Amino acid sequence: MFKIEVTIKKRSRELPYSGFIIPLSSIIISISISLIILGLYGVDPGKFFKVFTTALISPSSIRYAIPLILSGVGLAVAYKANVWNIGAEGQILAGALVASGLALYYIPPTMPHEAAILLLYIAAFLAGSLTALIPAILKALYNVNEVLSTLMINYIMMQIVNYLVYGPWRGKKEYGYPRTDIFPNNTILPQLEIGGLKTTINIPTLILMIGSAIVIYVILFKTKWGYEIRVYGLSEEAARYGGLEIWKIIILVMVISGGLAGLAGAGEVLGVYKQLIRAERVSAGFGYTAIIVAWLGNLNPLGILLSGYFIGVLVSMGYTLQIFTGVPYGTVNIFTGTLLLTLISLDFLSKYSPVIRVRR
Amino acid sequence: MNIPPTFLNSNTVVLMRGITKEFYGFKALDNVDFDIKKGEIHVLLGENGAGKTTLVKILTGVYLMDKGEIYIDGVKRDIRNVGDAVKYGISIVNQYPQLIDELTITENISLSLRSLGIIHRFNKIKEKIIEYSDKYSFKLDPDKYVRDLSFSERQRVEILKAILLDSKVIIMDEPTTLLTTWERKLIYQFMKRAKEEGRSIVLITHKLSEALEVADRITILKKGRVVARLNAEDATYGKLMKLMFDKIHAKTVDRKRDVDSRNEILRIEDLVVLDEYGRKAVKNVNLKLYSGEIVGIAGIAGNGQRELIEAIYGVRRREAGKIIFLGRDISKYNARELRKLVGYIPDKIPEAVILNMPIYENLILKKYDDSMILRKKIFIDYKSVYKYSSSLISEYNIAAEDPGVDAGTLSGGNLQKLVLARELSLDPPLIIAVNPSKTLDHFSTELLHSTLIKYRDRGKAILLVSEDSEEVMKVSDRIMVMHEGNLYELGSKDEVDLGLIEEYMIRGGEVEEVIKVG
Repeated sequence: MFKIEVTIKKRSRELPYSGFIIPLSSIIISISISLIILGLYGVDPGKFFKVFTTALISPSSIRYAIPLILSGVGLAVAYKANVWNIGAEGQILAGALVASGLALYYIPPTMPHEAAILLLYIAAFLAGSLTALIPAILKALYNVNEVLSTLMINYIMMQIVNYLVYGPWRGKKEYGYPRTDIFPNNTILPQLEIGGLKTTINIPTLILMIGSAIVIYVILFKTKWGYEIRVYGLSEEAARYGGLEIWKIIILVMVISGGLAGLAGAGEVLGVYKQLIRAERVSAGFGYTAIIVAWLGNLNPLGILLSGYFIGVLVSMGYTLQIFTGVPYGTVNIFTGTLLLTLISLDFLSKYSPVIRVRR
Repeated sequence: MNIPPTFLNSNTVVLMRGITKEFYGFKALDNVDFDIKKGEIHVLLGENGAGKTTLVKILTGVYLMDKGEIYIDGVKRDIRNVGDAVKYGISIVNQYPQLIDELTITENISLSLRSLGIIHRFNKIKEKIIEYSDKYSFKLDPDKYVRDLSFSERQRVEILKAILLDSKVIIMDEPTTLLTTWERKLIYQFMKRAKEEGRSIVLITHKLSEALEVADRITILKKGRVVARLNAEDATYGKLMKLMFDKIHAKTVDRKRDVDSRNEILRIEDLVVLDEYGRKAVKNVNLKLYSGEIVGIAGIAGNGQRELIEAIYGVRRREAGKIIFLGRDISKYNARELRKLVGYIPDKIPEAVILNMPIYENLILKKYDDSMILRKKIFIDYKSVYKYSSSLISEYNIAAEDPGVDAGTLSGGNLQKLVLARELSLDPPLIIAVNPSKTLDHFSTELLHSTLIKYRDRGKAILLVSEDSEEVMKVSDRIMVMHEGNLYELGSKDEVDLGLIEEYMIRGGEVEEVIKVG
């Protein structure tokens, strides 16, 4: 009788170029799987591809990619340190909230446009950082699990924002809708125009997004801080052994992580909606989707530029699919789900090789 | 030395023939023959590193042999994993019992039966545990949690496991090293009972007296070869001595250097350290360590050595007392500074290495914030790091393709070399090494010891903490023993013998009482 034995063996190094090949092939595999599933529901593959390719070059994909990439890069910093920040959603809201409050009530309409925007970005960054700082301090000092504390703060932030837009901040010219008034002109971010048409892409946040990806890449892989972050992330024991100051690492990564999410929040309200709206619509789950973006980009900020754009395409495609084929928006989740699944399996295969033996 | 065909008969349960095993070019076993008869106690005798453990690991499916054949009851068999060995009725009682603390004895034993596909009813297992525990006077309560068991009780659990697996061959790897006299007797008694039941016992030991006490037959291994195979009646102490060591041990440690020119490196006064549960793990310990000497602290694991070292290394809080390092209290150093001044080679290498990071990044764990490696104070100059790492790899003979491979791909011995390279390259005045030879083969151990000795000869201080009394004896200039949180200084290497160290390891301060009374 023959018996097939499957064991695994760690590769001495990852397969070459696995950083590119894995995400690419998992995208291809997940597209094929989703096509089959959508096909079973009666969606014409031709139509699917048309929607998909349209989304690939649509400005709205970039618009969605901006908050996803900003928060995703931030999350990557935390995840590299093995700190599980699940709170990007709340940190986005904190940034949005503080930027809105300042824009509506504190920034005088006479302040120059550039100064106002700079001030709002800084405030939004600090707001996101502070939101992340609470779980960071709890973890650093009392070893409180950051997954729970960051997640809880998401709900708190959501309720605060909703309280404000339903209550004290509700706009006077908004006919009772739960949203604030439109921000003054000197606080609104300029939007990109393509062929004379305004898009929802706002230029300053787009620049911040690219800039932050590059800066974070350099910090993570070229500086001593990045080295500390990576050492702590891979082995807490080794970090302790090497005398690294762990509490500083935890606080540093959470401050960066929250701050970037805060910027994303400011970009949404100041550059897209021009007013603060209901919490569910401001962050729209971007804080959670950014988790996928971070991992799809292999926790590498430059990879996240690509993965964030790709997920941006999916989000924008989801809305179009809903309009043109009647398939619910949630269908996109089939796609992201299979994408994550193949990604994880391929990542495993790039690190371990299966050994199949047949024995008698 | 091969087994002549006449040596074998129908009583032979296991025959291993021409077994050869190499580790990285080092021949751990070279064409070894070994046989086990029904109902005998077969002692496998040899020094540390002679290949005893390697041989039984091949028989129990932990290692795969490079060459050789294994016959069980006269049929050639392929043993590729632990499950195969158990199937053929071969079990091992490990030197360090491998049990799960959070489970009861019954749960632990059922777990291993289950994972091997033998499913019994829980109650049935419990009944059997009680039955056999009585039979061998093991005094084990099946519902007790393993975390509450003593070392010796854990060992007895492992033995019961082997019995419940219905093993006909039970291998015992240095079972008595850490036992009290009473516990030792219990094990000998068990072996004799098991023999009467028709089981075969393979006893691995390096103690001649033990071999003479219980053996029916003795096989002596030396440097991976069988040098003798004799019946107990033909064995005498002198004869075994001659066979095991052909020449008198060359002393690895030479004379003590000038006492006057030595500087005090470390002074510990009335140190108290607590363990995780708030119990006193280190009790008012005093210690002085001078440059140019190796102080060895022997002790069975869990007697406070770990807590003592962690306090010195600054990763564990002191409850009371002083630790003066280079004339300053260690609380005056910041963590990074202290790490650079104290080289630490732990026995759990993963504590010191980041397995998923390349070698070159591992080598700079203590150096990454040095101005030598940084550009503009924050950027790590990876090009020079890479070059620096290549030179360390060749200097310390680390078997790695290049500095870019993950540390996790290295073997245990090479990982230890990596840690050694990193720690010594900082040139610290104090090195702490914990059980350095525990995971190494004979050859690497020798290399490590000579590296430490050379380092001492450069005027550095070394604190060696080991569970292996022979290692302490061999390398140290001054010998101490730690027992239940107390540190006993036994004297210089010439004043102490192995027996005394082991007595202290087991009984601590009681030994003094005995000596005084006697």
